Amino acid sequence: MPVLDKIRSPFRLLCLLLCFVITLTSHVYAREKNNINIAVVLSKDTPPYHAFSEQLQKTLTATQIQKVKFHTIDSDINDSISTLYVSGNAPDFIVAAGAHASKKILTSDNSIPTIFSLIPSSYYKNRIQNSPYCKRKKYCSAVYLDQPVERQFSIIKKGLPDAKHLGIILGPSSKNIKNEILRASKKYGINVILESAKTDENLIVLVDHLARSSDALLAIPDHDVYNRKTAKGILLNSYKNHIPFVAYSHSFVRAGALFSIYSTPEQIGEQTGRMLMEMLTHSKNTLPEPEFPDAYKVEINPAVLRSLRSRIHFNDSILDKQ
Amino acid sequence: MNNLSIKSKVILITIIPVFITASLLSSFFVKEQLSDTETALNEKGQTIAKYLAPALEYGLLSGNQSYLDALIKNTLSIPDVNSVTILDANQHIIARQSIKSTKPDDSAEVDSEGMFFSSNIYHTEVDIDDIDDSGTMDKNGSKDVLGVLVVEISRKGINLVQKEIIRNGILITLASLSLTIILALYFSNTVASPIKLLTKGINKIREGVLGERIYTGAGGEIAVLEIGINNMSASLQLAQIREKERADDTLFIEKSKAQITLEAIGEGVITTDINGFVSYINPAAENLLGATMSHVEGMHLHEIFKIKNFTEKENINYPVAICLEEGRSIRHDEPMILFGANDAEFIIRDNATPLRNRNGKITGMVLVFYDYTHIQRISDQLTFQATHDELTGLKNRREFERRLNELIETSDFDAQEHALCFLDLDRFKIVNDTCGHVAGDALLKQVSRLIHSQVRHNDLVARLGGDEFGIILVNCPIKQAVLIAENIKETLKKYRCEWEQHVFNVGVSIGLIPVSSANQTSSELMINADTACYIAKDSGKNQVHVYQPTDHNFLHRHNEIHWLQKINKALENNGFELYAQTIMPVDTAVNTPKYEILLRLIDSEETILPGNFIPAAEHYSLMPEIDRWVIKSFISLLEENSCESLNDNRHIFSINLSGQSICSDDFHDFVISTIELSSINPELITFEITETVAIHNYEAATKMIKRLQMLGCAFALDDFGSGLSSFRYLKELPVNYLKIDGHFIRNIEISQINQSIVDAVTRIAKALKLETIAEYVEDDESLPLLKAFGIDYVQGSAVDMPLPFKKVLSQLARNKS
Repeated sequence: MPVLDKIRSPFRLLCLLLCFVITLTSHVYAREKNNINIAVVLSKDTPPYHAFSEQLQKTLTATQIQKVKFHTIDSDINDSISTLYVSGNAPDFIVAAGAHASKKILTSDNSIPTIFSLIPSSYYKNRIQNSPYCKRKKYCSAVYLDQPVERQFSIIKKGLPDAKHLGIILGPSSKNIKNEILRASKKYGINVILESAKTDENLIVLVDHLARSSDALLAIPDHDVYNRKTAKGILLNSYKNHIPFVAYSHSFVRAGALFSIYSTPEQIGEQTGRMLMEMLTHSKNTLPEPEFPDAYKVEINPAVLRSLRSRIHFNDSILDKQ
Repeated sequence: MNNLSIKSKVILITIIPVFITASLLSSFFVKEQLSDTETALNEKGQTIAKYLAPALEYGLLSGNQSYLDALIKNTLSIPDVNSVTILDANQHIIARQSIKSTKPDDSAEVDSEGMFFSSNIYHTEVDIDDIDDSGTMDKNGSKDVLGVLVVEISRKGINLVQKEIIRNGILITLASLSLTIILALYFSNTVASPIKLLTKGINKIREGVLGERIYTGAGGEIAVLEIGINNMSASLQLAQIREKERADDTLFIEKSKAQITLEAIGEGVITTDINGFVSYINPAAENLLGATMSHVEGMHLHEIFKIKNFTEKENINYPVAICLEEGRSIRHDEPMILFGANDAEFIIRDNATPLRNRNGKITGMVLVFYDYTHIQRISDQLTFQATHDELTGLKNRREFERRLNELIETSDFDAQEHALCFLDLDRFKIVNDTCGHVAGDALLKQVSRLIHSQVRHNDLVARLGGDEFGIILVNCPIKQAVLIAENIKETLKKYRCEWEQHVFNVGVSIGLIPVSSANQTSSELMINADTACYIAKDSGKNQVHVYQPTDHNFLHRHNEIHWLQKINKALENNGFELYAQTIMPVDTAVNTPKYEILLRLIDSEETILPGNFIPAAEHYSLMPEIDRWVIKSFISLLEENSCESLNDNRHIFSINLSGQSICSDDFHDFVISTIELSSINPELITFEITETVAIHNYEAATKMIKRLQMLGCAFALDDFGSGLSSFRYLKELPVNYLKIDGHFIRNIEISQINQSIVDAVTRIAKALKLETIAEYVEDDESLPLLKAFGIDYVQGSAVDMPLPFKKVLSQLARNKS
């Protein structure tokens, strides 16, 4: 039916045919020519995305293997790409930065290899990986925003050596990593107390309950659990119970978490750039597998640390690994 | 406001602005402080609510009631927080506590004066994603309201504070006001006290106390004023001293003058104290009283001033009470008789005036009196002379007529009847002509005594003139009057007058008329009595004739009355006319013509000569009136005809004067004043008086001649020779001209005697340096003769006929031009 609908629209049909021809020809052409056009789609026009974009360009241009040309396009993906084609800058790759940009790309009609960057692994796995966009082209990859569970356990184990019971709340988006958590729990000998957050459940009460039985709380990125509204209550409760709260972003540590393990946009941008560079260098026809960020940062909230220092044992050495 | 004292004004001026300012400032600051406390309370409430609300977020989110209660409890520990209430988003009370109840839901205790502050309890959001691309919509969305915090702040504390502020404000205002009042009083005293002192000083000056000075310690302008007033006071004091010295000098001088005057004046002066005791008498009083000052001082006025009234001759006390008690002056209309030195009686005039001090209070009296005895006697004598005949001592005609009028006016003719006698001596002229006036006078005196001896005590006898007497017989019927008249007639008939070997018997003709009606006038009675007397004389003398209106003799006499009426009418209506007859100089080279003014009575275009009416005029004493008319008319005609050009001439107009006029001093005055008031040169006029008149009224004639000659007029002795009087009179009378009686001139050319007389008179006149005029020159033949005798002027029909004076004046004017 969708095909019939498109046929019934002469203009759309024409555009579709045109794009198909262009995609096929351009892909071949791209690898043969020196100029590589990369279309970057940013979720927002904000400093983190700018930092990501700049670091991406910087990483690619630094190689000087081929001349790379970046085209930052707006959310109207189809029109922007058509425009690039008309102007002779048909993109060879698309980099979608952030969930919002990713969501837009998924709705577009093109066959250009796309790297989804700055998105949680759960999001890619749940929403992108199996989407029609990626199934059809097989040119989809990702650089996740979140840290691998094992890394987090590793750091917690090191930083909070006294933490025997680690409380974790999983939401709808993060429940898939339950097994990874359990594996890491075993590996690092940290008892995990998992709680699943249900819709309409009072997270504060849940956290309070969890905190009473845990030595520390680990936040797994899940918008249904950790968002702007719930964060304060969760942090206050953990603080009230005098247990450290380990989070996943700079903002979270600033909001009151003891420390956060996270990768900066620049780190992710660089890793995305390297992923592209590797393709161009080795002339691979397929994109690599999605990757967790290689580089990360552990940031501590000194105030919280001062407050909790009398109650916890915190190993500063984790801060060296950045 | 204007009646306020300076002190009050200063206090008000000081206090009112300060009071207003202090009140305003206090009000302002109190208001500000009240506002501040309100603001502070508001801010407190708002701050508590503002800062408590976020703290409650967790409690609301977590439903941690104990957390909420703990926070509320902590909040209630803040002063003034009365209660805290937490409501959920559905406005259900989650927690509530108040200071009086810690139970959350206890809402019974609510501070009615509390203020409520509410604040929403928001669900605050915290940014936890570095790369936030999924929560965009949430971030921009509205905040969720978890509930409402209501904090009640009690006003009790603030009320206490505000009351304290108000009380302090009032206290500060009152304190400042009190301080201001104290200062105002002090300053008002500093202003008012010097002014009060100044006022006191000025009042002292006003009261005449100039020796005191004002304290000059006030300073500033007031000190200048004080010094100025002190200087003024000193100047006034000096001036007062000088003035007093001057006044003392003046008073001393005046007192000396008064003393000297009192001692020098002829009036006696006695002063007494308030009780009438004598304090001073001057020398004149000493003389009159025959007592000295040392003798009478301290005696009562009645003791030294013994008097009796003049009329009743009764002893009286001087009415000092009028002066001393009633405060009125005493001035008696009639003199009093004072018993003076040696009990001599003095007639005195007096007046007395109360003496008063400067407050008008009577302190005594001053009595001034003088010896009036001599004046009274002279007055009595003058009065006597005015009412009595000098020769006989009888009442004179004027007094007689006055008494007659009085009798007519006062008589009750229903019960009374009087009679009037008119007496005319018979043959008296013979005595006079034969033995002279002295003999005549002696006769008249004797006759007077005889007449007086025959009348009753109350009857009035008067000499009416010459040999005429009048008698008023009071309360006397005509029959009795006739008897009295007869007795008088008989007495005089028997009387023999002896004078220098001459024996004369005189008789009397008496006219008698009853006075029985108030309708009669004195003049009518006199005329009728005179008529009756005339008839009695006409009937053979020595007769008594009672007036009878129907008597045929009366008709004859009535003819004279007829002339009297014409004369009166002519006097009233200018019925006379002046004529003039030329008096021609014999030697025209030496002398100029003169003119005698003649009189004519114009009656119905008939010109009547004076011989017809002059006797009646003389008989009824109208000659002075006629003479006055003549003089006035003469002067008027001269002035009307602008005859000032004639003023260079001397004695050119001769005017005749009657004997009756000569005897009247009033007439003398009239002539002099008339001439003086006119523009006529008195030297133009010569007055003619007959020899008989001059001699019979010698003293009066001499007096008049001298007075008018001093004015410049001349006198001519008319009809000289007719009276055959002694030439002695001619020598003594100071006349200028001598008009020889026409009787000697009329037939001079044929009468040797007349020629001799004229010649003698002319010689005497020449010797006396008198110019002579010959009148009645009726023929031309006598003119050479008269010239030969040395006559200077001639007058008569032979010379010129009388002409109207106006015509003569016209001729003179023409000749002059």
